[in-house]
Amino acid sequence: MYLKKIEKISKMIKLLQSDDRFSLAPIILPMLADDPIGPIRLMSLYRNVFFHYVGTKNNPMGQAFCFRDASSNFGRIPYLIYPLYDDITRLRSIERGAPLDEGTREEQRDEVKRFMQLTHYTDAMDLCYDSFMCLLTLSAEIERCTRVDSRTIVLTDADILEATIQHSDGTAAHFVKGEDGKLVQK
Amino acid sequence: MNIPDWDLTFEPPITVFNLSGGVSCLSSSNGTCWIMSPIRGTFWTQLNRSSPEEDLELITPLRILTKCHYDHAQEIHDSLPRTTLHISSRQGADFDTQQVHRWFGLSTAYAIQKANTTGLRAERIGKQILFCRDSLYTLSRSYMHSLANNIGEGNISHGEDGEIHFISNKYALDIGYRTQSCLNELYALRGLSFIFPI
Repeated sequence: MYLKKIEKISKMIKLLQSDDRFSLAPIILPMLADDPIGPIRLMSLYRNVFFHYVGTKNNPMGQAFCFRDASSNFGRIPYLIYPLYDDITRLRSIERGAPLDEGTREEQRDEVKRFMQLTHYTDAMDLCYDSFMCLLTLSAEIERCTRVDSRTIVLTDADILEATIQHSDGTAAHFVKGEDGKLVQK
Repeated sequence: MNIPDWDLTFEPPITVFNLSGGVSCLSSSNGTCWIMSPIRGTFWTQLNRSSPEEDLELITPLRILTKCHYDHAQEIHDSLPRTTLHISSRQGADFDTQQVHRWFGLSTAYAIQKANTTGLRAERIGKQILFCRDSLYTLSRSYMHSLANNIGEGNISHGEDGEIHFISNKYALDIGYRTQSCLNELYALRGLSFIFPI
């Protein structure tokens, strides 16, 4: 399973490097890079570790969040951080099947302390947003490379036999095709 | 939408800016604009701006992530509002929506060419972009509720003693679950993009 995933990402990287249709390859390749780890690769790592091994445990303490204050012209604004574990090497070894509770109890406690004292955290929502932006860039580039013109089908009244339309204020209107072929509100 | 105790009126259409960290800003067409970051006792900060984006971008290190649009006051209770990504990059403001339309259009083009399997895959990518956006919005709501409820219940300290306090409760579990769900959707989009035949 793990090898298959690596193969898939390697294939994509090779395609980006060799196919001259990808004009955004210099922007997309770092997103998939292993070292330094790119946003799409990082998202995949967290996803694999969470999904297959640790569940929702986001850091050595388990599920936990903290608060910080943002500075602004309007005074301090408290906000929430859901910090993700920062030890990429450790996460990679978990992804490859290493045991979750490595080290003595004391070493584990030290690791918790180290993590708690970090000044910067990777926040879960920030990571998801950045990954999504990268994936949109990637999918847009793939879509462009197909060189197939996107087509839309426009439905006219003549194509509709019966319709219920809900307005944005919550009210609904029901229409059916009349004898003259036009839609009539019931 | 009126809040009589506060003598405030929000005139639709209303836009809610969802920032990172669970902070949000409600902005209405009549210029009433509130940052909703509930500090104990004083729940709101009023801005008096009809377009607060420039002000919000100055709140470091927070960023605007998504925007919800409400044409009518009663829609504010809708659990699935019209949501768009906030994108200030070169792709343009509606990059995600454009992408959804492009992929659906591509699906139609392939169906016309009788390449039905490729057409279905294109449609699937379009739908997956929508799932990702909704999942990100759900995650931001979970942050928002956690922020509001934990501060409202007095569960946090702001580190006046110089220490960072971590909290593990039902809200942390909920954010964890939503994060995992969002990562799964993103991972699916990655997989679908990788295998699309070009």
